Amino acid sequence: MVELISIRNLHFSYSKKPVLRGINLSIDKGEFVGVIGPVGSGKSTLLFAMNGVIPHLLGGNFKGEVSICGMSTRAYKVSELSRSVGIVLQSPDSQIFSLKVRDEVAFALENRKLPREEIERRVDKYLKLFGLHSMKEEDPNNLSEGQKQKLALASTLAMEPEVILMDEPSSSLDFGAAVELYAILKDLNNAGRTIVVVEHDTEMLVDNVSRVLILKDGKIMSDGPPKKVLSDPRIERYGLKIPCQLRCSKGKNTKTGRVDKC
Amino acid sequence: MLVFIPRSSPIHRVDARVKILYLLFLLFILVVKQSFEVLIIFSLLTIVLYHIANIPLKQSFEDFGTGWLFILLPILLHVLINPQTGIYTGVMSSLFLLNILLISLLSIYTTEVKSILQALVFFKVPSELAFIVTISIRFLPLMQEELDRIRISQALRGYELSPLSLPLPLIVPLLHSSLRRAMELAISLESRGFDPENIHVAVELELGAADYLLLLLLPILLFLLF
Repeated sequence: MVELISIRNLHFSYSKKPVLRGINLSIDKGEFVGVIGPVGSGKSTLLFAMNGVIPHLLGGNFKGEVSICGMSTRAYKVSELSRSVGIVLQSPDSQIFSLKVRDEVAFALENRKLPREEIERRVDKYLKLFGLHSMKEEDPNNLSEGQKQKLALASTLAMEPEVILMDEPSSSLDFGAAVELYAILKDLNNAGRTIVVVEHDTEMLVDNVSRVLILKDGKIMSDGPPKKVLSDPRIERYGLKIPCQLRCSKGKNTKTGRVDKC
Repeated sequence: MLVFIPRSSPIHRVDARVKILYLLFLLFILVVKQSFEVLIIFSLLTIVLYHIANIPLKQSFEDFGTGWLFILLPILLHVLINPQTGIYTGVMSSLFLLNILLISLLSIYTTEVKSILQALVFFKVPSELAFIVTISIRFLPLMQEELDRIRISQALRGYELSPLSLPLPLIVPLLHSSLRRAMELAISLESRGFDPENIHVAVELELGAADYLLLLLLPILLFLLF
């Protein structure tokens, strides 16, 4: 397996209170990792450490070593790391700034000074992938929340990064749109992309990701396959909920096959 | 909304660079030729330009909401300072501000942000500054929406805007959300390969026959007026 993300003994604090405390983590190519944990556990901070936003854009006390695709995040600027890692933030309204859907997708490609034909090809390809092609001349402000989230993802994917990071992608989506988004992410993962997603909804993770990390108070409390990690009753101590799918299968009567309690 | 309003008017078709030159020219006349007659002619010209651009004048009044009341402030101040001639000077100052705002808004309504950015870069405005200007234009309507939301939520908790006190219950949350949004935007831009120290803006604007004509007309107008 090829290691794409390597974190060694990472400590980080914005002020005096530590946010990440001794994180050691290795993520291989092709993994689909879900990171969950209570509010303030350091999930988003961990994500920002993976693409160099920490320490370059968000200041604080940073100790340890983070490298992505063999590049140390200390040594490379965020814009340089963006060739290998793309991030989609929680709120698409804060990242979409163009007045046309197509310009938003083209933005990252223009920054890379790609030829005009290649930019057009990728804009068309990724807008079609997310069903936004017919709206390419529209103002992104007129899109629904789900469409905006897809546009933010399309804009990141158009850079064709090795690793995709997502911060709570389903937080502003209804259930149907969230399921649709995860289906796209799963397809991308099957096509070889490495994905790390911070999520608050444990039910979204069970059938989609290949590995789950539980973070609490800046430490990794659990790491393993989703069904094993998320069915452990101890996760309720961290303020997390055992997903219904796993609770239901536990309550299934082996003789009748019916779910007694869910 | 304080954004580009797509129309197929002659003003919309004018190149952004020519539009910026004419905007500066008009503002220059306003500042230099300060007389009541010039202000009246200028106001009429502004109304005509809005008409040609197919944008209702009330659009700008709606966009600025109660902010337009500040335009009337000079009248009040001048009348208080000099009750005899204050009304005349006050109206002059208000008309001056009104025209500056209306003509500037018209250029925003009729020009795409991308074209403004390219035009500023063409005029050798530092790329960082040009980018800041265009991002600001893009986010103005979002801030306006945010301010409306904050105003409603504070009103629901019994807050009443008083002209005698600082509107801190509106300013503080607006500042907080703007800073958060700015931080998130910076993260998102740099994560998509944007390097603030090395901004690359390709100028793809092309001058048409009408633009050349307008450019020729500009020195003639300057000569005639001065």
